[in-house]
Amino acid sequence: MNIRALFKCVIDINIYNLLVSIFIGTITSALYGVISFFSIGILIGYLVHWYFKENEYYLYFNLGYTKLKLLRIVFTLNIIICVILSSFIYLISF
Amino acid sequence: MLTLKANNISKSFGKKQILNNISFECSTGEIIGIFGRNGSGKSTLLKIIHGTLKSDSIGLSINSNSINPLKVIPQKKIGFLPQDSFLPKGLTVRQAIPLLFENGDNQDKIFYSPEVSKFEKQKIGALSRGELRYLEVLLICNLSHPFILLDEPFSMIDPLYKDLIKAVLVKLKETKGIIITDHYYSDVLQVTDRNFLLKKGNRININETSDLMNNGYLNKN
Repeated sequence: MNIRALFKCVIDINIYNLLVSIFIGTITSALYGVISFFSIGILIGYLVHWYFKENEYYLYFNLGYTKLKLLRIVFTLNIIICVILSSFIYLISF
Repeated sequence: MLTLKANNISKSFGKKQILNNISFECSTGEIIGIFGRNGSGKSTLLKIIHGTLKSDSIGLSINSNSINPLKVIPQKKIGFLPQDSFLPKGLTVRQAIPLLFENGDNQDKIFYSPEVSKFEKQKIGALSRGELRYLEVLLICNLSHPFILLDEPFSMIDPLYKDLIKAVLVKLKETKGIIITDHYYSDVLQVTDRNFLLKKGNRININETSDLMNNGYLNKN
């Protein structure tokens, strides 16, 4: 597993994801923003990144990562981030 | 020795048949050249073999072990250099090399390759076309994949970098099977062992430059 390459992919997708999720969280509620961060936001982030940087995906393909595998990794990491953040917010709210 | 066999590859876009039951094989230790006019299906053929484009039909195997096209990427047996640059333009060469090679020894193979020290501190986006293509060929060809597909490695490259790329290919051919497609036919013919032309979806074997003329790829004048 090439951590540096995966880290770059996670950051690239999540930059757009974060913008989408903050927007959703602002116009609805923080909860929907968090849900977006590990669901629709990833998909939109991936589609936007693919649209602008399609060729960069050959870097990941040559490392053995398919698009589906990359999305699974981003999804898993974002779920973990959301659980940690939610727990932290829950704890400090008491 | 490993042998990659691609059998009965067909692909059509709408009603237009681009590839019609194309079959060929490539073994480690040889370089194969694919020629064809624009739109003849050269890049399409490479993308299908690499598993990034769906075909109408395909049979792929390495040493008689069948490979599901969906498993080509995860199995890391076939590397692919696309026509356009795949490296992130905002990174420096020093930052980009570890993206593909985590191991220090493998990184050193790239860093200590001829000419790389001249541009290793530059950003990818600031490299000349020749520097960028040479770097990309070095990166892809030094991966562990036994087979490498190169889509237009010589396109728009100055003669010095072309020579460097050819030297890389000839050296790595000892352990890999390489498939090249490019319009710079004289450069391709200098390094390849076998060649074929794609014309109207079919495969035509090419042994010398005159075959390219006789089959309408080059002018006879």
